Amino acid sequence: MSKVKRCFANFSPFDQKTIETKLEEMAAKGWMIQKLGNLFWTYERTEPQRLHFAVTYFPEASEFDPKPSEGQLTREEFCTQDGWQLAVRWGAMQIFYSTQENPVPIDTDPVTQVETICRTMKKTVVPTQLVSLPISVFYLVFQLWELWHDPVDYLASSYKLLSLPMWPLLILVEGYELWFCFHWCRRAKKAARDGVFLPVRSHQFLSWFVLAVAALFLLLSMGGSAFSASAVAFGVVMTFIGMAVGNGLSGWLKEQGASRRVNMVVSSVGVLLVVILAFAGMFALMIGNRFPFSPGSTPVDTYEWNGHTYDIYDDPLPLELEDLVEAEARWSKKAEIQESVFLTYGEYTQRPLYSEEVDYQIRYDITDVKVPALYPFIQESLVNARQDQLQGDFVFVDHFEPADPAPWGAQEAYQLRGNDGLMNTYLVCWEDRIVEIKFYWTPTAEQITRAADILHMGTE
Amino acid sequence: MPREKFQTLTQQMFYILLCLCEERRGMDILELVRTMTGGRVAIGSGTLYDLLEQFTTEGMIRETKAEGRRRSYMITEKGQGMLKQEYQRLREQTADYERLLGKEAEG
Repeated sequence: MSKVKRCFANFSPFDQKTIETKLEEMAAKGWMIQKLGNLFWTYERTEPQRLHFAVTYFPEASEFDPKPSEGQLTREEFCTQDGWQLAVRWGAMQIFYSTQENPVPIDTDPVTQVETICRTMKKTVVPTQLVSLPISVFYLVFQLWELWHDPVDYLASSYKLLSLPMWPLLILVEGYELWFCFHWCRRAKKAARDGVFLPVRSHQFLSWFVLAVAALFLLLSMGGSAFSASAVAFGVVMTFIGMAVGNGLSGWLKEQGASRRVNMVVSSVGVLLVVILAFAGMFALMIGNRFPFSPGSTPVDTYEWNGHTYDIYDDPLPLELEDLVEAEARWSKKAEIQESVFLTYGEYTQRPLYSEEVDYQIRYDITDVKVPALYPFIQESLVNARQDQLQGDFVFVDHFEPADPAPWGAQEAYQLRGNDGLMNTYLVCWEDRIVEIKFYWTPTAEQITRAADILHMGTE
Repeated sequence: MPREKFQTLTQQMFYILLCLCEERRGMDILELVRTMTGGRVAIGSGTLYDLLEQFTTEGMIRETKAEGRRRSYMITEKGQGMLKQEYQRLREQTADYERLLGKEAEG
């Protein structure tokens, strides 16, 4: 039979009554509290005992302290002399137990008790949430900004779409925790003046549930992206390594007697270094195309040109240069496709290898809009994606102008204008497909018609 | 700590200050209050520590002796003033009660 049991800590650390009742039940079943943690509390097997527990706080204490302060030890000695035995410490929280039938509680004055809890909240929960809440708000605003400015890229990405709901959920939990602290303190102080202690009854289960849903969105977003399951595993492993490094470093520094400030700074820097190293390693591998779970297409071969190595792709393309021109050459054909419930977005390029003496090249993006209501928004954003730029007195002309849609057999068509006049880049709008296509030569009317037939065919 | 908190004293604050009219070790106060009030008032050990710290910070009591973690305290002039003010308030409450219901209460 196992001598140790870990249970999910489904209660607020300030919900004294619930914690005391839970520990009393566990002790009666022969499980004595041994260690506290954010997610799990550890119990060890003992003889079943009828014990009374008391949860109390010493706001000045921190999990990063090398040892309890004299003040904390004095307070604990007061409790011990009154018949309470210290079971466990965890940051600012201490848990005592008593074998007496009716022990005098450790905290008996509501005014002092509320003040102690409020000070503990202000030193633990409030700073944490005041740091994490603006970060979550920043990410939400950033994502909404991205959605507004580049809706095609955003709406075609399952990763971005599924990670979006995570931020409002985190903001909800963080905001609720902050609101709860201030709301409870205000009400509890008022009640304490009338001699009544208002117990903390936070809806911790609800917070855990919302956080679990947020984590689910995060996992789904990673799974729904072009990243493989290995990328999810990489993220999870790095998170655990970061946590282990943080906890290990903090524990070691405590043993070495490092001050709270030193411990906090060094542990945070340690975790930050792990994160930076992980990302740096990942990007280095991605740049070198050695990352085993890089998104996108995979090269089939490489070739050397002027001392550099280039990749050769051979992805299937809806429209190939061979459909439009007669040119013998070795090509690289690359397709990058993203798909979500709203859009399918593909970027396609076909270019000759640098060693080939051929001028033909083509590049086009196909956006298939699956939700008709989004079409006008997507079309407008694609048309307006090109804007003239004023730099000093010089205007870099770069915008789409309406063109005749008839040759394309489309509802609307636009042609790009640059400083040298109209370019060979077109934006063509069919019923539920929008294509931006760039010819690297001036296409003939027949070539445009042929390209239109092939590109439009994909929607019929 | 807001000063207005001690404008009136809770029962436990009152008895702690009362006990410290003589120099006493912190822990002795627990037993003394229980004996003095016949168990009617019981001060928790955590509350006692917290209040002794707060009273010291506010200058209502002062530390007189320290043997390791065992410390003795004594009420200050300010603390005596607070205690007397609370006593007056309780007397006025009692007087109000007696003026209205005194005879019934005696009966």
